[in-house]
Amino acid sequence: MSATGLPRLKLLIGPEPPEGLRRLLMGIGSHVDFAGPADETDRAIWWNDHEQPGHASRYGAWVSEIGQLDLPIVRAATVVLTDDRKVLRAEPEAMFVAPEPVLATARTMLPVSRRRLREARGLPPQLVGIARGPHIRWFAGDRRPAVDIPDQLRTTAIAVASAVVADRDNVLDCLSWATPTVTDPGTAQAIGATADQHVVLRDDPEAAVRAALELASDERRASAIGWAGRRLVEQQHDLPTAVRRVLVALGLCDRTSAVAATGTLLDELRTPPICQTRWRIAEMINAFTARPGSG
Amino acid sequence: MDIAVCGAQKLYMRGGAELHQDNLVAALEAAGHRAELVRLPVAWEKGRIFDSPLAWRMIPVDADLVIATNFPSYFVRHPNKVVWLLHQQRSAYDGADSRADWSDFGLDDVSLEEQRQLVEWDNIALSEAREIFTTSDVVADRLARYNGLKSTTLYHPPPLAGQLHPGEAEDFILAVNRFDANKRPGLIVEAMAHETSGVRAVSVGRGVLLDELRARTEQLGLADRVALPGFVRDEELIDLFARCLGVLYAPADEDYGYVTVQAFLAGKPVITAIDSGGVLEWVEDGVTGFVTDGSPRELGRAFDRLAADPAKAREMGAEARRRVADLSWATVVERLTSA
Repeated sequence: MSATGLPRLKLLIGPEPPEGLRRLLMGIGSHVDFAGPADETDRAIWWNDHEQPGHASRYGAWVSEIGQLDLPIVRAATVVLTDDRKVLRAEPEAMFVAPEPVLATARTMLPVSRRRLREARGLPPQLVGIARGPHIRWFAGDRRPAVDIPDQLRTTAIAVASAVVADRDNVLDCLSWATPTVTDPGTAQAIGATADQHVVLRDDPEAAVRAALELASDERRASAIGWAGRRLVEQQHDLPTAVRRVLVALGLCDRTSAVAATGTLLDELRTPPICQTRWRIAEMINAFTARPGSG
Repeated sequence: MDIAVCGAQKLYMRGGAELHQDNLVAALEAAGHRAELVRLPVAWEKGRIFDSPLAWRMIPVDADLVIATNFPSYFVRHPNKVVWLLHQQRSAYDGADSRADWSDFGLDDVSLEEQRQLVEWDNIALSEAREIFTTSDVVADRLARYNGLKSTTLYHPPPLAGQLHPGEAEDFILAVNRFDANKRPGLIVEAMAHETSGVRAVSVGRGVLLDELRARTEQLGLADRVALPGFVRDEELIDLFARCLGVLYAPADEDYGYVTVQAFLAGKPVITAIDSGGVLEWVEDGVTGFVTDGSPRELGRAFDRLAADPAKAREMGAEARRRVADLSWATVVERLTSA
């Protein structure tokens, strides 16, 4: 533990680290102390450095290309980190840190919650969206053609649609809202999505719309695909999740600790930053610290 | 193995869930494990619904395996967690979806967001489990529909399983219920107004609707043919199951329904309704009982059919008993501990 009270993490990083690693380290930076005498820690992150983390009992090795998986230093690592999908395919246990961040404010909206929201807002019971390029259109039931959605309502449309056909520009936003999504095979491959697990795949635009209509009418399948798509984003495209997983893997925070901070608990449960539940918890904690109402 | 069985505690209430948890602990102990029941109080109403899940996240449960049984006990954090789900917080799921009067999740903004958040929390907590089992297909289907989660149904024997036995049928239909609205205890009284065979009815149990039903029985002039004794002891209940002609069990969208399986173990056919949920996993129309539209007229007609053909009633009862013969706690323990 450093003077800051944070656990120490040693960086053995060669010059000009890759963008993904830089972003990960910035995220980790608020939970650990990179400064201080190196011999005071046995946890490290290594990338392409002349110094070996041999003394570290646990370390993460960043791998930029598949050939590095055979390096003894990588094979001995506690966890392999990468932003390369080829590496992930070759080493499924590797922790993937996607180059693209997703909408941090996106919330999980499974079909039942979408349906309730549509009903509350007086929208049609079924809405299918088509998100291509910068615009989104949607149509109700089989009442086509689709109508354009104003840009300022784009996120709302993604959050309430029964299902969406999404291209490469939109697919991650859709998945981050747990939207049941139809996309093309190339897009699925680019984001690491599996057919019929995270997304439904169709090559032809018209077939994609028909598939979205089918998905919108099958709530069990839509729930499974929406949830799996959201989990994919959380596990591969969400920086706070990546940070937490690295910290846990390196033993720098204990997921099962009973004294884990309530804030962390609420984060792990994906609780929105501003909501009734956080206020209630803050109120309870403030009762101990004699700071009523400071929430 | 040291095993913690986790369950919610609703203060001053004891029902099927509590019995289920006690029986599971007993079965685990019988299999040679050291088992302990852990309960935390729960609040079901919107606004306080997240308090108990958070408490479960915070408490240390030292065990080799935890088995969580109901909302919100599956929020317990443990590296070796198995869920055997009796039910989620139904007011936020099928209750909210059907706008049931027992759900306080309406379409106001607070309800919309709290329902959404609860679904997400449930999904996260349930996804941590190494395996999710449910007590019935109805519960599994809700998980698939509302949460997109897969699960496996694992049936278990009901209370009194080892003591229930067939007996010579007499001329009465038995109903066993908690006298609450969702159990529809009034159906037997209303159905008796339509039967024509002269069969009698005995409806046992207690609850808030008992006095109301006694009054209704008087009003319909059925007091001499419909007995409402209230609570009866286990020995008497076993005897009633053995002596009845058949059992009426037609609650609204039941999760599992011990009464059906208890009736089957006693070798009795069950009369039910098409919207009775988990009961329909057991009752096959004309084979192990009668599935009706749930109207008093059709239920009364089913009573008449049983009374008119006791041989058929016996045959259906025997088939029903065959279908539950394999239910055992040993199987349940094996599945849960080897998941």
